[in-house]
Amino acid sequence: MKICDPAIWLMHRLTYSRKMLVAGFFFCIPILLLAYFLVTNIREQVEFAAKERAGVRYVTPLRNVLSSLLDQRRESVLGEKSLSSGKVLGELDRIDARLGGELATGEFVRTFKARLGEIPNLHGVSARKIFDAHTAGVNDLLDLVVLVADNSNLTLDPDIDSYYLMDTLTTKLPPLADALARIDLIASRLMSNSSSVGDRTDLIVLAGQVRTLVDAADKNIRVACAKNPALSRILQKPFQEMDASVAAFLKETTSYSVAKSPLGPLPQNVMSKDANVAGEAVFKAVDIILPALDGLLAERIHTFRTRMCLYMSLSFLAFVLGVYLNIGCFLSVREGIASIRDVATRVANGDLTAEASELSRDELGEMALIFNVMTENLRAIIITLSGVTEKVYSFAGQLSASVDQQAGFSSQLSSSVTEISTTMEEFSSTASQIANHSHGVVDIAERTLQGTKDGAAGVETLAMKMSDISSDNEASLREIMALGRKSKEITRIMEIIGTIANQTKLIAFNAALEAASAGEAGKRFGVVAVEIRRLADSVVESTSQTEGKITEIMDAVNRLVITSEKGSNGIREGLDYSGQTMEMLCNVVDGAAETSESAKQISLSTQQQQIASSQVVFALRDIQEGTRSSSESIRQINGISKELMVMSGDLKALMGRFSLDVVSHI
Amino acid sequence: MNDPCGIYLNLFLFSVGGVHFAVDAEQALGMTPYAGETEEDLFWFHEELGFGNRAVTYRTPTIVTIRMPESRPYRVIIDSLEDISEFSRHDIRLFPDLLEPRTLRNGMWGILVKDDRMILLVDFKRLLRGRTAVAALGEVAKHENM
Amino acid sequence: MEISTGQLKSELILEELKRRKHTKEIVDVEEERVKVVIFACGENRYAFYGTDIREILPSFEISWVPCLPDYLPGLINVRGDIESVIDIRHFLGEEKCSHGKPLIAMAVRGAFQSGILIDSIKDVVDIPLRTIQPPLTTLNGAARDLVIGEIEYGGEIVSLLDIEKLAAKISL
Repeated sequence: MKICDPAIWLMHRLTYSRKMLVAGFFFCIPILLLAYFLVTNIREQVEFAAKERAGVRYVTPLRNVLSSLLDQRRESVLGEKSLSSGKVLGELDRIDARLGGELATGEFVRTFKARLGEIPNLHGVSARKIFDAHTAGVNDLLDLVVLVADNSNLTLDPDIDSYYLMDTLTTKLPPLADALARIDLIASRLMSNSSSVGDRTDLIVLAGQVRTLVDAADKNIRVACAKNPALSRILQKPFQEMDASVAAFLKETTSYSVAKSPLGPLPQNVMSKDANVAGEAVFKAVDIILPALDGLLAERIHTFRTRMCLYMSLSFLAFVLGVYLNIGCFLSVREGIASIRDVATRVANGDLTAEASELSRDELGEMALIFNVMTENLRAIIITLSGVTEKVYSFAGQLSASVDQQAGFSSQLSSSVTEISTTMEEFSSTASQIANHSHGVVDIAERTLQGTKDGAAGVETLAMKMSDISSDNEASLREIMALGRKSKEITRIMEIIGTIANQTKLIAFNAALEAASAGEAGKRFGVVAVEIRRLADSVVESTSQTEGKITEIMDAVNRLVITSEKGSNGIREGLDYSGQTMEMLCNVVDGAAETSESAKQISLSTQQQQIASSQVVFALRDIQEGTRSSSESIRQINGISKELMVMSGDLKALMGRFSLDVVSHI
Repeated sequence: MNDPCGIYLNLFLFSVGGVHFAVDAEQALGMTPYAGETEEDLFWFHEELGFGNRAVTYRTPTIVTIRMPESRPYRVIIDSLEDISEFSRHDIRLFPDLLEPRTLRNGMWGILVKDDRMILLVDFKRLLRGRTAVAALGEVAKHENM
Repeated sequence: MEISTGQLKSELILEELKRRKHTKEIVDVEEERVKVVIFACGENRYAFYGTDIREILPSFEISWVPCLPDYLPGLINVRGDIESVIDIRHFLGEEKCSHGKPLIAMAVRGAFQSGILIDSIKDVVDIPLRTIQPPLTTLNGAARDLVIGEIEYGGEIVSLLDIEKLAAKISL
């Protein structure tokens, strides 16, 4: 609210203690004021009541003065000796001295006293005049009573019971007493036959007044008793007596008044006695009322005082309690604030392990809680951030390293590209060489064609000759094979011979054995056996030799056959080859034609290659360009990554400022 | 030896395990094909004679019942009957002296040469005699041992 | 040889030759000769006395006879006569030699007559009796029983076998 802004502005400029002091101060004032007003109020009430009591106390001597004055009047009128009113006046003086200032009765009392003082000075005047003088005094007194009642706030008495008592006391009973006294006087005058006409009228009037006053007094008393039942105990009896006595007196006097004729002289003593009794009853009533009233007032004052004490003590207690609680509040809040301030300071300095104590359940406590949560979050964030920073740092390092690598690669690429460029140039030159050579190839192809044709002719001739050789060869082969067969037969014969030879040898052995057993006669037979044996051996030998020769022949034949066959085969192969050669020559012819064609193609392709290679060279130049710019970028990246490393290092240092829990710090 | 009066002998020719044998026709009571039965008094010829380690296969095994005067007939399984013919006694050759003791004990008492083949003459009685003698010897030995 | 004076070279030589001949004749007269049959069996050379061998036959078909020991392979038909055959390799501890056909030497000594299977005949010669040496003591057991002497022939030692001993070994 805008209205509070100045207050807010002021409060913002104060510290909390001062705020509390200011606020407390401005709260204490009304409390104190209230207390003060309360006390003052009660005190006023007390004083009011005290003043009333003073009034009541004042009335006490006035009653005496009245009583005395009435007596004096009566006596003066009746010519009796009047009592001295000095004592009562002395009382009055005393009272007036004490309370007169307070009740502002000084003036009146003086006037009254002056008037009373004149009375003794009246000598030789009519009874009427004495009566009037006294009555004036009585009226003054009655007025004084009323004045006292007025000035002592009795007429403003707030309570019903005391008010009606007061009213009875001040406005009913004294006049009643006076009226009774006057009735008494009048009655006595009537009795003495010295009454005038007016006396009767006065009597009726006074009787009426008396009745009115008595009724009023009774009504007042009834009301007061109704309000305060305790009073009825005190007041009922005297007032009933008073009523009774007054009623009796009235009856007497009334009956006297209404009598048409003089009734006869009553004993004056009886009338006076009744008057006294009535008067006394009235004064008794007054005497009863005074203390009662005083008592009520005293009670009221006491009540007020008690109430005031109670209020004072309660407020004091409440005040003390309030101060206590306020101090407590102040301290609690201050504690809370201080705690949070401490923790905040620590957190501001980087100690994230600080935790605010969450003692209070109020908003400060909540704040502490929230603060802790915040710190926790911050801690978590810082931890994560620390971790991330580490990673960033390491990644930055890796990035730097890899970028360096890249730079290396880049330069490698550059050099490779240069190499390729060189190669492409060579390639280019090679291609033109190829083009040249391909022309040469075309020439060669044509020459090959011609040569091939010549070759084909030669091969045909060769083929013919070879078939001649072949047929000759076959004839030889046949003859050789016949020869072989014959050799085999010879071998067979040789085998037979060999077998015979072996058998002969065996026979020779057997013959030798026979010869041995035949003894001397068999000796020469034995010689023959030996000869046979030798013959057999030589046959075997020559057989074996022949076999050897045959074997040689057979081998030679075989070799010839083989050779012949080889030759045959060779010739056949030769024929095949010549056929193949023909084919190949034809192929060569075709090939030559193709070669020619291909050479032309090569020429064409080579031209295309030239174009392509120059394109490649262009492309390579572009690559080199790209490589250069890439190198540039890499350098930039390197710079950036190095900066990144520095930054992350700073960040790390920054993180290091925060102290976290040992466990959670990474 | 059967009937010494005649010059000619009637002989059954059979071969077992590639070796040719001949038996006097009088010795044989009958011939029946061998159907795979195994009985106590049925013997394989090669086991009786003693072929050693040679493997013998019978193409058409035949049971020959031999007449035995003293005991019940003897049945032996031979391979197929090849021939029945007469032979002159004069053609019979003796076993060489070196071999004779052994061969006689095994029932082979002579040799016939026919078509460059040597046919061994078998006397079953002699063979069995030798056997029973051996068996008897064996039994005696057993008795003595017991 | 120094040429001595007065004599012709031819005379010297002649004298030498005559001397030798005489010696040889003496030797020839004095020496008793005996015929031996030298044969091969397996890897070694053996010999029989010629008197023990009646004849040498080329390989014949041997008909196997059952119930004969291994060293008797069977019978042969020699010109109508039935002869037994002994496989001497069994006694000499030789392996079978499969070069060509083996021969059969008919051995006869007293009552013993049988063919003997040999691999081949080397020779039938007369040798002086004194050249027959006593047998080597280091011969293997099988042959030792049969060997009665050693002959040198063709640079080799040939064991001379005794038919009688062979006969003794074979007794059925």
